[in-house]
Amino acid sequence: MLDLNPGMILWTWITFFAVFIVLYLVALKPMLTAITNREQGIKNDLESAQKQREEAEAILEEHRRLMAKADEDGQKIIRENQLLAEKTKQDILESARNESDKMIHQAKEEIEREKQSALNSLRAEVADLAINAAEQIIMQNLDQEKQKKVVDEYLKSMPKSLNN
Amino acid sequence: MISEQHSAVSDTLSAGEENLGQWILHHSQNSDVWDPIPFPGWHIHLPVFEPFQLFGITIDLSITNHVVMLWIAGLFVIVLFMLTYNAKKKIPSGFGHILELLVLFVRDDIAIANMGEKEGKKFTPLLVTFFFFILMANLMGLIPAFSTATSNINVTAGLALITFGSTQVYGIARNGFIGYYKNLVPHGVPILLWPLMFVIELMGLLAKHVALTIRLFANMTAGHIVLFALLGLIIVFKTSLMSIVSVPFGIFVYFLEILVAFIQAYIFTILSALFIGMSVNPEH
Repeated sequence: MLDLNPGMILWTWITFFAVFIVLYLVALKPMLTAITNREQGIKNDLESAQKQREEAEAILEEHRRLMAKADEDGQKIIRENQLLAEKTKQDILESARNESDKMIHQAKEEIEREKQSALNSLRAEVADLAINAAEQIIMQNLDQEKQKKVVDEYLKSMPKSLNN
Repeated sequence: MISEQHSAVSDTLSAGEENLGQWILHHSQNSDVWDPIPFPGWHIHLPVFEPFQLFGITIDLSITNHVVMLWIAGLFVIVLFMLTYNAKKKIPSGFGHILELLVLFVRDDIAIANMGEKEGKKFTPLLVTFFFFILMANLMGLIPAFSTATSNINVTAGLALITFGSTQVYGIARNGFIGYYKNLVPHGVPILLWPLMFVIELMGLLAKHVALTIRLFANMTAGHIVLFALLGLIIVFKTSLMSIVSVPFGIFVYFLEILVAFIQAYIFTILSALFIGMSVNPEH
């Protein structure tokens, strides 16, 4: 049972190496290559996924920053425009008030002038009327002196009755 | 069935005029006949060659029972891989996936774990072949009409010598002839103890591989002897009632043998990886 037999050892070697070579060529070489390729592929995929993730995160960060900046800019523009609008409103109000004041003033002046001219023309008219009336009275041969006095009195009383 | 076996066994016994011990040995020993059908008289006589002398060694290249078993085991491994593994498929399925799992296990947990990344990948094909070849040879003894080639010490010695050869060849190729044998002696040994330590380490180197040989041989032989001895009890006690005990125990030992076949193939592979790794990277 324990006797050594070199022929048997030789046969073992021959068989083993034949199996080894055939198995290596037929199955183990393609199998190990496939395993290595798959491992490499998975490693590459993982690495590229990691890289893409990092890139995406950087882009997201950039976008967040841009959005924040845009928001800030918008706020600034709105604030500026509000100030501008407020100022414009004040200006318009101011100018309108000035304009209306001026117009009121003008109208008042106009009224005054018109009143004055009306008074003047009325006075002239009244004077004419009085002269005509006096002529009528003179025509009726009344005492000149007396008549004139009457007319003057009349005229003097006129402005009192038309007191503005 | 039992009486059939009984008659078959008693026929064998009466025909050969052997006792039980010889009968058990006959079944686990190498011979130039192969009886695929377990009936007396049905033998295939294998070719016997005249032994010849080479360098003073008598070499008998007769194709014996165990040589045929080795061929069948090798062929079975190759056919198994060819039929179930399809390299064109990117992801294997079914049994090919199990094979790939085993190959990956040998590569990652046996080869790379014991030799490092670079050497491990280089030695993976050898270790995978060791594992599957030994596993097949072990398991074949459990199939009727076949026998276990690994219960022949010459076969296990041949396999262990392949490991030994690999350790020497790659160790010397890696570290140089002097460097390799110098590294056998552990670091920090006083210079005066070097000659003694060198001899001890050299013996240890040989003992490791002899142990590798004996371990596989003894495990495979022992299981079969136990199996035959249990069934032989029926003959010893000369009653078929003994089969009530013998057959369940025999079945138990049979399943134990399946486990042992896997464990021994694994142990042989992992120890080979360890020895080669130790000789290639002596610092570790």
